[in-house]
Amino acid sequence: MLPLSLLNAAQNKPMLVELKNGETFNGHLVNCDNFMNITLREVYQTNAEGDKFWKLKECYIRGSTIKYLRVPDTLLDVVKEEQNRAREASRNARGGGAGSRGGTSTHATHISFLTLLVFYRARDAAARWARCSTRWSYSGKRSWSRHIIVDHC
Amino acid sequence: MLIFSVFKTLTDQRVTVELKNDLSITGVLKSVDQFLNIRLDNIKVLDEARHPHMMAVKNCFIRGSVVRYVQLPAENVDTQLLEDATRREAVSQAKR
Amino acid sequence: MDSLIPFTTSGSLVDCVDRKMLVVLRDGRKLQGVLRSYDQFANLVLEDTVERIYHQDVFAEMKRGLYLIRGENVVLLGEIDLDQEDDVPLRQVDWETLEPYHLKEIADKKQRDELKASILFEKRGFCKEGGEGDGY
Repeated sequence: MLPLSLLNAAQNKPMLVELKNGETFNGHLVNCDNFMNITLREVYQTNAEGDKFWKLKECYIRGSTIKYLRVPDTLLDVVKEEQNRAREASRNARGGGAGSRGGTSTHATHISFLTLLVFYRARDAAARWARCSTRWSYSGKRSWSRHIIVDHC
Repeated sequence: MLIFSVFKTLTDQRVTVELKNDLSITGVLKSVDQFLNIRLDNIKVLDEARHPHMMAVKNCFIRGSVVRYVQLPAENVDTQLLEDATRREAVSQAKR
Repeated sequence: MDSLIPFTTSGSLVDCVDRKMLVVLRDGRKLQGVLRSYDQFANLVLEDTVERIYHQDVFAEMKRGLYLIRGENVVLLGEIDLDQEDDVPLRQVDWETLEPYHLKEIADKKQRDELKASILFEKRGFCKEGGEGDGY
């Protein structure tokens, strides 16, 4: 899953944000956007030297100032669980019609899925690259549907 | 796009990349992208003693924004062709 | 149309996923962890991350956990060769022991760099590089 989707899935979880200037913010994620701008609540702010502290009820951090975010180790597993559950739910809802081919998720399928996913995103930043015979589209509420499309090259 | 195209023609050549943090790495150019991020294989760090963290690294991906210089093999770059292409690009840019 | 997959950020990084990688950050930190995810900005998700500090022929490690690193702070991503890793001739010590030496090294380097930058600026008009980030 993409880094920003991991961030989106971390809402309400505790995290540590370090800014480019070395300041750190410990708090719970309220919201985030595609620029990595975030809002935190119950925040403990520390200066770069580590000798000054502030407590803030909430704060907004502009994405461009962030160096990195440290999140709970278990977050990756929790998010994968949620994704699988959502996928199962939507698959059951659709009655398994379009989803029969991708039934068993092997490691190789997972990697090529990731590759396709990243290509789909990279398409916005660069010209269209490789042909794909399968295209994923997002139909809202973390559910994906797959369409078979003809080569467009 | 021009410099990106130059790099595309230089894949599988040995180049030396000098980074803004003064680290110099020589390696085989495996791939490049539109941001001039560089992927090098079989790397050798100049002045290895100063950068011990690189000892176990054979291949690396370098973000384009941290590159200061890339030293290219002169015999593999057609500067005349490049010059002409640059002039043509400049003309078309001016028209726009 | 020839496949241009190798010429995208995705193409460069796709075979690094689920591998142990070394990430060097712009502030000089060296992190080692398993690359789980990335995007076109080279934002990275690194699992089971360990931060390492080095001093002469000695190093120390500190476990850090799961990181989401903003791409513009990344200098390079190195694939760690697991066989070569054992051959590295460095001795490991405690973090607390090595940390003061490491911090002093950083402070000295910072001083030298500032001096160098001010001389280059006064004598040659070179501006300070590297503080720009990806913003425009």
